[in-house]
Amino acid sequence: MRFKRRAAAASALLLALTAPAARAQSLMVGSPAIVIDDRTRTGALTLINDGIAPAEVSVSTFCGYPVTDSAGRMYLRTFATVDDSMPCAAQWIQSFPRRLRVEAKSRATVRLLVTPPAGLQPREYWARIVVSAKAGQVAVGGLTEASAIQASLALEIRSVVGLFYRKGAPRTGVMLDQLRAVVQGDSLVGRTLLTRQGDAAFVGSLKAVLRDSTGKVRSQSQLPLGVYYTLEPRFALGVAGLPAGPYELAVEAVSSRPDLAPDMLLPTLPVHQAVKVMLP
Amino acid sequence: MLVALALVLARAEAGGQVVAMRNLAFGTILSGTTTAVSKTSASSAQWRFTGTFPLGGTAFLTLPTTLTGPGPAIPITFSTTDGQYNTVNNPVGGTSFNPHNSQSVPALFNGTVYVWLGASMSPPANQTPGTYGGTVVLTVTGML
Repeated sequence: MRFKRRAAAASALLLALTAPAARAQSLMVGSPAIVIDDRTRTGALTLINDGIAPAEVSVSTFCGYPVTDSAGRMYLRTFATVDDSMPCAAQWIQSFPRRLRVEAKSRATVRLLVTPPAGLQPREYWARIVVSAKAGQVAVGGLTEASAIQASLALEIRSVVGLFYRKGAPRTGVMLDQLRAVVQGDSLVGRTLLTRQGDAAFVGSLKAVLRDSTGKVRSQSQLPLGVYYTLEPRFALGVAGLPAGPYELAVEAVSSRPDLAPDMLLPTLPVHQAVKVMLP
Repeated sequence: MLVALALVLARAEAGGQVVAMRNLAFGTILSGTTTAVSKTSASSAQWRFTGTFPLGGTAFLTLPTTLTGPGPAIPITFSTTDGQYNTVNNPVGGTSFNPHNSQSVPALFNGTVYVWLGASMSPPANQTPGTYGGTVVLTVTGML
């Protein structure tokens, strides 16, 4: 009996020791966005694996764009089916290859080819590229206990990249409306309604500035965003320690972001709006 | 809530990196009993987010409900406190989060955040022996 217990314990220990080894897996996508022009219809995605394990990668596409919920939080709304009114390019995109293995400490390039339907109207069309990465299979060594159950969960990371397909000379802009703010704790929480203009997404930033009665900037923030139809995001400015009294909250929508090269963005004129607020 | 985590997630690309550090390992388990892997144990799943993540964005986990293998699928559950993150590589003292919820991120993150995930599974009695598995998917989306 004692021998059986020891044998079982040894088996369990052996199985534990021979479980799939932990191997850090990391895959970076070279750019958070891809712009493809109708004249070339091709683009590229650079994948960098600086981890210590190979990554099994697959590339796919879908339709979706950022929206805000009732609290002003942004999330990506996705669509399983797309109606004709949505300028979605997901079904036109082919990636070469669709599946690949990126070895540790190496990089790979995935080519993207867009094949739009004939007679496409000039404007900007949108898609999302999904890069899914899983660690390469790790062989389980050692003996296995025939009567035992072993279980584990593998990890997969999906990076979602925006793709913009531009035909002709699409233009964009944004309109600001309904700016308001309330004090919540040590923050001034604001919201504003952004409505896209033109025939391309407005990709840029919403800058918020709080000025005191002398015009001095006392707090500021920057919110990167993309407006495809409308967006009503929440933003917050720290107001801890600021004296009570009247202030001006000003917001500005600009077509620049810290994470994207300027040539990827369509230029627009900055748009402003301001309201008076009172800090208690 | 997960401002730090979210930020992290917002961008796995230029300047930022998401690393899947280890799988969640239940090891050898017994039929007819519930086996839990604590988020603070060395068998929990772990990710690391490093670098600068200037985008607002969201990140969410897609969690399996069963593990598959040679026999009937085994149910797996994640409680509302099975997620944990911390700025140091130690879940103890970190912040708990609900792994079922999407995490959003509005601002700049710069640094390192570690994330852990625990789970429980309950194979019924007389479960067919063998190796069972599933996949947890972390989706990272920049808001552009």
